Amino acid sequence: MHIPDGFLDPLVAGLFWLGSGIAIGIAVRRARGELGDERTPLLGVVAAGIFAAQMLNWPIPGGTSAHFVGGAFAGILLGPSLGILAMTAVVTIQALVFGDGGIIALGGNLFAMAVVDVLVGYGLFRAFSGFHETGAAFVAGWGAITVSALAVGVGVGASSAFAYELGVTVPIMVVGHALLGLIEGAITAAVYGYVANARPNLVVGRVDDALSPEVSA
Amino acid sequence: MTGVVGRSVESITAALRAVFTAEQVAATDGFLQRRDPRVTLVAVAGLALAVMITRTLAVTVGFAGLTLALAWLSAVPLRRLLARAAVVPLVSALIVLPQAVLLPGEVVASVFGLAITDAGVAYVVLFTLRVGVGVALLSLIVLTTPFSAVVAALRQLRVPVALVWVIAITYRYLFLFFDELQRLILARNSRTKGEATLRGGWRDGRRVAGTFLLRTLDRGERVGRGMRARGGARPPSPYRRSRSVDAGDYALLVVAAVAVVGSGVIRWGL
Repeated sequence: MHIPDGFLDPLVAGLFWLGSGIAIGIAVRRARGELGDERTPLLGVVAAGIFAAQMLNWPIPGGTSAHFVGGAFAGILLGPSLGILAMTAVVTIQALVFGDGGIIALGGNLFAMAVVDVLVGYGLFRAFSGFHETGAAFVAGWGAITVSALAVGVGVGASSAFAYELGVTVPIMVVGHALLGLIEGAITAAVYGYVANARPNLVVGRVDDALSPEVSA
Repeated sequence: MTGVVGRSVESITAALRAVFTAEQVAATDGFLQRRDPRVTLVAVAGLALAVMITRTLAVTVGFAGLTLALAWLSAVPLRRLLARAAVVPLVSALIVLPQAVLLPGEVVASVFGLAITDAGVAYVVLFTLRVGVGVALLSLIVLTTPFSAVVAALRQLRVPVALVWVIAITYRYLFLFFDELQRLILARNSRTKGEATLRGGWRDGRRVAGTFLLRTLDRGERVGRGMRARGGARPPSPYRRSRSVDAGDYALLVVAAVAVVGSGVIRWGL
């Protein structure tokens, strides 16, 4: 889903930077309240874990493999503010260490994968976890990827640099990722189920709205 | 556990190899390596912006030349740069290839009854080249600027300290966790045999990912206890401060500024 430079118009890229800047700024401010300056760096340890978990190949029919994106999982595990910060670190390192995406398009990538993915994942999980927690994790993973793809589709379709218009980019991105999102949903549910069974206190909303005694305020 | 999950080791190794290769190049003496990392970030972003602004093939070719010149001055092996920067533009070219037929213009050729237009070909070439130059510019940052220097630059560019800390700690622990995940997969591989079924692969993936994330969280808690035992959080000290900006830095900034303005003037005729 990383958008490279060249797909977005500078204006659209700027709007993405603005949107992600505002969301990340709010997340930083709220994270200070939730964690305190002293514990904020610990979040990086969790972000590194999510990043490394993305390297795991998951088998899909046809002999190929899929990767975990983890935005929804970060939102479920850490809550919206800390989830946004963790995924911001992940997406930034992907760009500046591994060269994924683009430097001008980084704002768009942050918006899709660190903001929308986390917020939608968190929101869907909170909305459905009362019915069935693992099912809610699946819906969160699937819905978050699909809505993130919608954001990318709108951004790319609204850019004159990319010759396809919104009527083409949005359906292709949304339908494609609604299918791929089934894999992300299944991975999110599988990993969530394992972690929640072993350490129920780690999941936001389970016990005292806390990630863990160490990382939470 | 052989099969897709077991082959994750190759993904991790490939990622590590890419990082180590980049660090080798970053350790050599070259033009971009000598620049203040703040300047490298801002100037390369400016050049990328200039490429994004332009819609002219000749200007884009000029930026491609400038990118190659920067790579040469920075002792970045051309083959390595092309290897990093070739895949994304090729995939992008495939995505926009139908525009060679869809865009109205003068027909230059006909393939399987489809009329290829001059405007369509020009668009596909320009788009692919712009994406290629954009990817190559990002690769130049990756290949010439150690991430520790980028972290220091982010702080000096007034990125909130909490965010810089999270990024710095993520990077610091990333390779440790790559190693941990790799060992988990290798250990599981050594205990199992035969090709895993799809269902078995998912079961393995769930176990490995779950165990790994639990270990990650445990380590986070231990890091927290260690930090408190040492008297609380400290700034990420290993990340050195940027040095002073010199004439070469100013020259690069001027080139980037001229590129952005010139690109805008050529496009909009300001």
